[in-house]
Amino acid sequence: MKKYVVIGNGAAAVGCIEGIRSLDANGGITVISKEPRHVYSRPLISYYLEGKTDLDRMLYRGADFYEKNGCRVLLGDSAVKIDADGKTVLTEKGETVPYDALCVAAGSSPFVPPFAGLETVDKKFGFMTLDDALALEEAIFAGCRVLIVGAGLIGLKCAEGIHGRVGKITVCDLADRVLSSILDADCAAIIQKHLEDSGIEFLLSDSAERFEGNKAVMKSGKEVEFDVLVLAVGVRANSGLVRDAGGEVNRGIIIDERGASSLPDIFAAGDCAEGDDAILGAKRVLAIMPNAYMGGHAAGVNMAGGDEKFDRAMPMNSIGFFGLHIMTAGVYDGEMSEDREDGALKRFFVKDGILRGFILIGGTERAGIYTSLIREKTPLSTIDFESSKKIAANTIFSPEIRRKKFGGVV
Amino acid sequence: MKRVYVNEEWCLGCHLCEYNCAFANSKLERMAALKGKKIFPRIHVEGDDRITFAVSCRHCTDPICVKSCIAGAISKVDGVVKIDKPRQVRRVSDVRSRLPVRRARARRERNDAEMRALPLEQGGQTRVRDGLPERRDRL
Repeated sequence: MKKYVVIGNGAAAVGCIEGIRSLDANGGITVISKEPRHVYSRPLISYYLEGKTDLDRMLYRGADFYEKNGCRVLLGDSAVKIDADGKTVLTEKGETVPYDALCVAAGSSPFVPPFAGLETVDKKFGFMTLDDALALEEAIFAGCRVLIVGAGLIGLKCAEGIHGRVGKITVCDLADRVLSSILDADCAAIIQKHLEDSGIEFLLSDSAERFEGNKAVMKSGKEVEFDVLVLAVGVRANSGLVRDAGGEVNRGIIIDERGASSLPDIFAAGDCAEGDDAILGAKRVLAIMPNAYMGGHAAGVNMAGGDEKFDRAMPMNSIGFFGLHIMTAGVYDGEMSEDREDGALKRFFVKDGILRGFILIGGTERAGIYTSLIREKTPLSTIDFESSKKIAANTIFSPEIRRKKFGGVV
Repeated sequence: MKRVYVNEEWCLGCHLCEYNCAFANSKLERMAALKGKKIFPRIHVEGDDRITFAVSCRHCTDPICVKSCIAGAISKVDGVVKIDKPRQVRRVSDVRSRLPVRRARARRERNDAEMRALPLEQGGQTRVRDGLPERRDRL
């Protein structure tokens, strides 16, 4: 009987477990989870604060998930060392867990720059885990002033989550725009305006230089008083275990399309891994949930002796704030064309006759058609792309493609 | 598993499939009671002035929507893609951008997760009575 070990307990770990079980019903699976919680969906923590979900519904899988999959779960323990030669994982609590195949799905950790005086701030929080969200919930009160450092996906989602429960929210970022990882300047300006209309204040191209108790002194010299501080500057892949074991690590653990690291029988998936971006044509960390699950699934299948490739990882983000939805995908290179209508904005990036990326604000209906054009690298000369810019429709495809998509099993 | 297959050479674009889908899940006794009501069918007629065809969930062999759902609120059981209603948050439009084909148009005021197909899920059989599918219990 094969022995599997999974380090981590998020979407990549679930994908891995389900991948293993798709081939091997009997092998023993040990899950090492630093967080002492049943697997839950981290992106839902802002929805929790907003009251759109609750702790029970945040579970990513049913309460009987581990039992049904025959997993032994070490909750509240963490892996501290991998012995790649001896094929064991040492845990913090001192257990040595042997493996035949190991998956590192350890996620990422918040990156906190060394702010001067940060230790003088009483109420400061990250916004990654459910515990972060619960602690933040304890700390906020009606009328309280919140300073969020970081205008990225995490910081802004946090702002939306607590918006109705606090007095004032200020968001600062060194970047000159919001959501700089997924939006160009024009699109970011639209979102910033929308958030400002909702009452959120921004200090961009500016960041905290030092903290003095309940006050932040900004690089610009401005001073911001706050009751609660949220740090959402960025995240870093938890790749240390594999690096220390001698595996190849860049920004994340380097993996191939089967999810295998450079060390024998050690796989990696999710936010800690750096695999191929199918659109960019290079390796990079793609810390988004679908990639975590799919990469984990491929790793699991391969750990169990199967052969599954995860070769379609690409950036995709879908995020909304106060009723305005944004979808982005791919890379923004090539020629840009734009369609504006009824307050909705669509930008498409076409290179060498192939759709490479898009940014949709507002008009996000049926964006999956665009995403599939990017993913499948459909030559735009074979479809009526122009007409689909306004509304993505299946009429743009040839009857043959439609026959395949709708007339049979896909 | 049985699916709804599309044969666009035969489709006249009459939209009756949409009404029958809505009626099958409406708990109404007579289809006429749908008259004047806004319906939310799981099958939709698309097309232009040359061609029409009906589109519903394909219950894909490799369902990207299931794998992409941030809430884990979509699963595939016995070949059927299902929405786990208790688990969904109020909007699950995150899923929409992953859909390789398409789903129903967004219905902003409702749970977007409703954009699933197959009114006949939950292992139920459609019993034909008087030429119309009998209403079935909802999820």
